[in-house]
Amino acid sequence: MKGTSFAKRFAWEIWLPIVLLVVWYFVSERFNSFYFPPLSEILSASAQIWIWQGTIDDVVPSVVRLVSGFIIGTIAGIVVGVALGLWRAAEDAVRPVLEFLRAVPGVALLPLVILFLGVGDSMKIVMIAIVSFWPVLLNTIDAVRSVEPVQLQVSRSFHIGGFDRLAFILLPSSAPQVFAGARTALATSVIAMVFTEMVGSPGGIGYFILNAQRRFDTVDMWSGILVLGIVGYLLNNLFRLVEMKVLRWHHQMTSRAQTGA
Amino acid sequence: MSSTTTIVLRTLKQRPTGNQGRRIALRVAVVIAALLVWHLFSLTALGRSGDVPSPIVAFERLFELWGTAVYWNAVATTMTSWGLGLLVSVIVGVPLGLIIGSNAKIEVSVRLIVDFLRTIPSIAFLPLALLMFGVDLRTPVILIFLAAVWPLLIQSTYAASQIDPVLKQVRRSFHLSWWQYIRFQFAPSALPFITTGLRIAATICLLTAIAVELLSGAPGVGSQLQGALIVSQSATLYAYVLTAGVLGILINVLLVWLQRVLIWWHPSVRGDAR
Repeated sequence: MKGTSFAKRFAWEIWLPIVLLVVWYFVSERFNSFYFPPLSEILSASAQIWIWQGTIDDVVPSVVRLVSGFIIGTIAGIVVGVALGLWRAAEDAVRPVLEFLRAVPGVALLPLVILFLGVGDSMKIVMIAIVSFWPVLLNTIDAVRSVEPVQLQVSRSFHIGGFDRLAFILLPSSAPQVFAGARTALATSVIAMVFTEMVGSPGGIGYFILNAQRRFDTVDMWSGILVLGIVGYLLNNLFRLVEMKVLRWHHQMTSRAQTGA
Repeated sequence: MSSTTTIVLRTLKQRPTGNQGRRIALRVAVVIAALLVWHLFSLTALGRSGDVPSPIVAFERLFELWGTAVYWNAVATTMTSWGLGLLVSVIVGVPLGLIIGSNAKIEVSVRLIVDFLRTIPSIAFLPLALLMFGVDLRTPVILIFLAAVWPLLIQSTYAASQIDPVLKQVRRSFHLSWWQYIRFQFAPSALPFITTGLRIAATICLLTAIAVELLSGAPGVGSQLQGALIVSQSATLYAYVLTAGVLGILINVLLVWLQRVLIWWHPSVRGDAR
């Protein structure tokens, strides 16, 4: 598909989603099942719910919790990861403990966190931070350890140390892999967000979906799932934009290397 | 990278970090230190506020639970959902991914749908599954499938799209049979991708199984966790968290072993990649 025009490519990307939406629309209209209500009803309910009261009441708090937990977890992961990546003996020594902690499925920690923090916002943010910590940590350790050794030797010869070495050598060359870890972390953060909202205090998209089910209101429930998908999709693309901006130099370098210029 | 840098890199990597005995001693020391920190933390005001049991109490409780049928039933149920969910995900995800990846036009056509669907956490469908099936084995299996199928599908798509077109010419010139093509050309180039997807999926399966049990009360490790929280038996709670960690490790070991068996020749397994 390389070398085709943008319009043609766009047409190829968009035709199947449109076909599926149309099929969903008409099929669901015809077979009016309780579990899979007509798309037309879902859409009209969505317009009423999410413009804009529902967005303010549920979507915004969800996203705020998600982003704060994600940022806390990512920063903690980078800090600990850089430290362990640089200090090899320590990393080797803590490896078994780290492997065990990482193997505990994040959701299993929920009851422990509830014992400490209750079912409010802080519990939700801490859970999101915990699940986003691990992928960032492991990728950062790996990235810091695989910095080009020659670069480190050069920095030593030129007596570039301390903060400069961190800011101009270690972090830039680790950035692509750290971002890869953060992308995984974002996906697990969304899971943790929905999960904690279904257990915790009212509010948020996850709670909205669960609550709709309790009222046996499948139309509202589907509308919640739809909005969740849209929010997740937008967040992913936003992340990709940030990544492209931050790693522009990296992509330019790799593409130049590929073309051999 | 030039060959000299490769050599430098090798020597740096292979530089011994101390003798083997000292390394192991250090690791054991860190494990003991971690347990000690846990113990001391359970005595502090903060630890008490979270009802943290001492590790001694937690492990005692774990050994006690090992003698009960409730414990093994919970573990068996969780692992059954795990296995069935993973199986369904492989059966659906791998062939579908291979088909998608084999044709660039199909790949572009489904990209938006796959991107959109995989961002929806499968847990969001739990209320719907509960309405349709109730607390039944089908509920965890379907939700596990909805979560774990994506990494398998995406890795299989890569696997099929990365196959070297030259291989097709080789196949033709050597008159390879269909089976020979699969065994000697297709599998070696596709399996490394698929096993990576399998490893990611296996972890997601356990996570989803426990999450579903915890939220819905379906029997398993997750509902034991939730039950221990409700009656505030923190020792039992911690014993089950330790269990969840052990299950996670066992699954990882199993998958690494499987990877060794399936792609023993691959650089990532032989350790030549670094």
